[in-house]
Order: sequence, then C-alpha cells, then structure tokens
Amino acid sequence: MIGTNTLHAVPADIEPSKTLLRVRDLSASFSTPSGEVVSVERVSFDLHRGKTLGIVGESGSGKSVLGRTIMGLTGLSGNATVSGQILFDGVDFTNPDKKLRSEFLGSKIAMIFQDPLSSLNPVKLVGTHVTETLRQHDRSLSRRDAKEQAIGLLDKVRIPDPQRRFGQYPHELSGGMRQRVGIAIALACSPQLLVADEPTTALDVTVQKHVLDLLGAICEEQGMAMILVSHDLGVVAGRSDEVMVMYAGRIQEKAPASEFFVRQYHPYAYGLLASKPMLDSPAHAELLSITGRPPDPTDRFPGCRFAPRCQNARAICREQEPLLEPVSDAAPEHKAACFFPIDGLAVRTTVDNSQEGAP
Amino acid sequence: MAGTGKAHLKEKTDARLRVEDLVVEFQAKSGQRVHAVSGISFDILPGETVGIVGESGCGKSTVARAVMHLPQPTSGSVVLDNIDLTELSAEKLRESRVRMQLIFQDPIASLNPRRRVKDLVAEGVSIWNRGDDKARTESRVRELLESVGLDPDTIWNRYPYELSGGQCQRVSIARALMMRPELLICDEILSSLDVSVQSQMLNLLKRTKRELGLSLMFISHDLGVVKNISDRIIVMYLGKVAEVMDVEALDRETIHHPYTDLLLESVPKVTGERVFPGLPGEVQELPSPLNPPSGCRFRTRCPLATALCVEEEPQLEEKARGQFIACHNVASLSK
Repeated sequence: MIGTNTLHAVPADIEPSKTLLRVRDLSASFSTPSGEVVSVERVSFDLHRGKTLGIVGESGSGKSVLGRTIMGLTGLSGNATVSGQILFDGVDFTNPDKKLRSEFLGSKIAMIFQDPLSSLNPVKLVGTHVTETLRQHDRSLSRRDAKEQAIGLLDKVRIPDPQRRFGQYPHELSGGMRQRVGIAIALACSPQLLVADEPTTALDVTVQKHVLDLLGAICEEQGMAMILVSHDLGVVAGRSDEVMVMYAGRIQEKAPASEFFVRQYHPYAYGLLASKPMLDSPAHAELLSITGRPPDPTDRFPGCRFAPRCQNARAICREQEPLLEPVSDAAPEHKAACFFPIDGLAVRTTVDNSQEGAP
Repeated sequence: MAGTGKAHLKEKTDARLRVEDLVVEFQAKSGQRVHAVSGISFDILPGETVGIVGESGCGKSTVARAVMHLPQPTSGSVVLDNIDLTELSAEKLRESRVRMQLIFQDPIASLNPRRRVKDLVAEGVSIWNRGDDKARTESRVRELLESVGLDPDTIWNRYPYELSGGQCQRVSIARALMMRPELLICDEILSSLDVSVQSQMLNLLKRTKRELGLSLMFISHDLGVVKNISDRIIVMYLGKVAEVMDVEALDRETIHHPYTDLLLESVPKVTGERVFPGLPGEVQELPSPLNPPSGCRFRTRCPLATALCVEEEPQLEEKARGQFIACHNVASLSK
C-alpha cells in the first residue's frame, strides 16, 4: 500500500452523514508476465447515501476492476496492488484485512455479478444461498426463521412460488430467475451499498427491464446506494443520478445524469453515445465510428489515453495527462478530462441538420 | 402470434429467398418434441435486409440454420432463386448452399484456430477449386481484407488468437464474401462486440451490402441494431411470427402486436431523466417449447388475451400499409 492516505485526509467540512463512499486517487494494477497492467488509475469520486452512480465503459476500461476494488476483493489476488483511499462510511476500506472485509461484505456492501449461474453454487439449494448469508451475519438466527426470511426475500425480488423455488437447484432456474436470486442474496442483510456489475448483460431485454425496475425500486425503498456498472449507456440511462465514463482505466467524464445525456464534453463520451444504434433514432441512421481500438494496457504512453483514437488530438494531448475538471462555470458538477472539450449537443445538432439537408 | 399466414409475402418471382411453412422440431429425451420453429413464412428480396428479432429461445437462430439446411428442416420449403432446396440431392444442395453464407455470433470460436488469416479467407475457394489461379485468389483475399477495414500486410500470417473479437468478425465477413454469395445470414454477429466496434461493423455491413447488392438476413435481439440495418423486420415469438413490418413502423408510437409492444417498452430510453417505476409485477417467462400454449402462443403473457386466443391461432393480417400483425385483438388497440 502506498502512503497516499495522508495526502487525502478527510476534510472537516464533509458531512459524514451524507457521503457514504469516498474514493480518492484509487489505482489498481496487476503485475503480469507481459508487464504491469494498470486497470484503474487515480479514480476519485463521492457517492451519497441512496444515490445511484452509473459507470460506463467498454471492455478493458477498468469498470469491473473498480467495482471489485471497492468491494475490497482486488487485493486478494497476489499480483495486485491497490493504492489510494476508499472510505466507506468514514472507515478506511482500501486494503481491508480479513476481519474487516467479512464484517462489511454482505452486511454493508453487497455485490451482484454478470453471470448468475457461475456466481451460484451448483450443488446448493437456491434457499441455502440466501439462508447462509442471513445466518453468517446473525448467528442467533434459527434455521426456521432464516428460511422464513429467505422466502420473504425471494418473494420480494418477485420470484413466483418462492416456497417451491427455495428447494430447487440453480440449474433449474432461468437466467432471469437466477439473477433475482443473486439480488435476494445481496439484499439479505440490507446493505447500504450495492455494487451491480453488468447485472443484466446476460438477460433478454424484457427481463432486463424487470430486473432494473426491481433494483431501482429496492434502492428507493431501502435508501440503498448503488454502483451500476455496464457497457451499455442504455442500461444506465434513467437509472442513475450520476454517470461516469471510463476509458483505459481513467475517468474521462463525470456528470449528473440529467446533464450527461443532453451534452457530452469528452470526445470519447460523445462517441460512445453517437455510435450506439438506438430505437428512438430514425431507421438507417448513420452511426459515428470511433476508429481504432483501446490501447494495450501494458503500454504506458504519456498523455491522454484516448489521444491515439481522437480526431481532435493535438501535441499537448500526447504529452500531458488532462485532469478531470469542470468544463464550464455554469455546470461545476460536469467534469471532463480533455484539453479540447467538444460540445456534444452542438455537434449533434449540426450533424442532424446536415443529414436533413442531404438528398 | 403469434400465428401463421402468408399475407406478407411478396411476389414469388421477385424474391431471392422464399421460406414457406418452415417447421423445425427436435426430439427431446422423454419422447416429447421441441417445437423450435412452427410454420413460419418469409421472403427476402434482392438487395434487401430482413431483420429477425425476438427473445432467446424464440427460434430465430434455428430459422437461420434451417435455411442453410443445418440441419434440414422438419417440413416446409426453402426456395433460393426459384430452386427449392428441400428437394435437392445432397450434392446439389452442397452446391446451392455456397450462394448463402452464414456468419456466427462468436467471432473467435467460428474460425479454425490452427489456420492463418490468409488461408481462412481463401478456404472456401480452395475447396470449390475456383481458385486455380493462385495469384488471382491472393489478390482477391487482399482486396476483401482491405474492404472490411483490415490491413492485409499486417494480418496476412496471423492466427485468430492474435486478433481482437472485432478483427475476427471482419475476417469472418471477408471469408463469407469470398464465395460471392447472394445471401448473407448474420446470426447475432454484433452481440459480443463493444459499442464502438459495433458501429464500425454496422457501417461496414451496410456499405458492403450496397456495393455488392447482397440480400441480408440479420438476426439480433437488439431492436436498436435491427432498426439501423433492416428494411423489413420480422418479430418472432416461440417459433412463430408475431409481426412483419417495414422498418419505418418500428417506433414506440405505431400500433403493434402486443408482443412487439412489450419488446419496445423494455428498450430503455437513453435520457438522463430518472425513472421510478416502483416494484414490478411477477415475471412472465417464455413458455416451454416442449409444450407451447394452444391458439396464440403469446396469450399466456398477453394483456389483451381473450377466450378466442386460447382456441384459435391468429393469422398475419395487413393492419397498416406494410405492417402485418397476427393478433385477434389488435384492431381494438389504440394509443
């Protein structure tokens, strides 16, 4: 662990009651045979109680490693280094020891994963998964009470006939059902933060909506905060209070959701949105192509990580790393890491007009 | 329908591919039968892109394979350029099949890991002895690799594991085009790719199709992608066709089959406004294809289902210009 903690002592003016999670200069890297891979690089953000933060990025952007690092799981692999600071409810959770981790995981922070089949034990009953979490954190709970609570939880996540499902094995359930079991396990001890890593990627669109509605409703009802990680801006849209776009380990743009979907400042964030084929766009709409592909994670070239693919890149972009800063005074919460930010709204309007004018 | 019916088919002579009453069933263990595809009909015109959408398990991939006769459909006809493939001998079928090329979802698994890119792309031609002239084959491989956005010189001797998913999918497209097909069948070919790569591939497919006058059968679960590439769209549900429409009709305002509506409602709106829908109701999942519901197969999940839907299967009817819906109650729908 690198001694960055002292650099970022908690300022006195922050109300501890409001901020649930405080992440400062968080980096996570792995030493691999082909060199050091920096998966998350100097990431800082705050998450308030009951709020949802959407993290979007393509594969290799570091979004999943970030989620796992917040869970205190990255340090478990021997080749990983985590530096910076994670404060959960005022407690340093950066590189938690075994005791702290088992105290927090499940009861304060819980996680749901992309693949609900591989995150459930195939030889354990669905119900056992839920009751073992309950009894792990409350040793005095009797088996019968645990079963009753578990069935209540399965019912809460809208699993039909929870009595019967309790005694079934994971393979007997559909993908959507399994993901709901995953949610029931995560909710068992009423955590304050839920990290949902691509929770709907393996699901059909109708089931996806159902699961997202469920998560949203539970967050609202229990005042639970959520970090919603997805490769799909559509999943995050409408479900987050704040959106963060990651690329090659760094935050490129961060804004309140209501602003982000109107106007993007970072060319990559704009490109991500403009290259997505959408139902609400006209048929055969021309899509923007971001040429090239993400950089090799072992290649630590200087400057902006997106510069090799960016059409606006100039010399400074290849020399200096842009900081995540507010772009205009009007919206201090809307930050982008770019020397030459664009105005996504203006660009889109121009493109639309020129298309209308075309024959 | 979801139901059957052929009201949506175009003139026989116009179609490049015409599929009628296609049925594909598989034997299950217990003596039951899996009704994967139960009597669907559709056609594709020259230069047209037909998109097929539906949830997993609706039979859309089975349709693609049945068109290729991999395996042969249980019944029904597949007519390619006025030749009925179901009546051909094995050898003749093999010859006809070259004119259709299928591209799969998993770009890395669908390429032989022990072959180099140059051989992968040239493989079809070498099998069919169309490339006796080695130099000409090579220049065509180069040309195709370039047209799919790959640099032949860097990629020439590479193996699939040395390429990214997007690059492999480009190689698969080049490999399919090598045979100069008339019909390209794309089965979820964008699903495993990142958004930025997805848009590159969509633009590439649209351009290639235009340049070569290809017909395209584009299977996807993503309505946004299908709307972007297709001219006509078929919505499938549990082995049946629920709706066929011109692409312009695919929006949230038009009146649709209740199943299409369910799909459309499920697609998130990409806006910043938070939605607070409250706790959802119980899930209605896709019924088992071992024992599909009687009458309209969608009735178990349909908000409009009546007694008639249990007894009688609805037929595809033209409800608006270019829009065919198989539903007893859709006339009573209003938005």
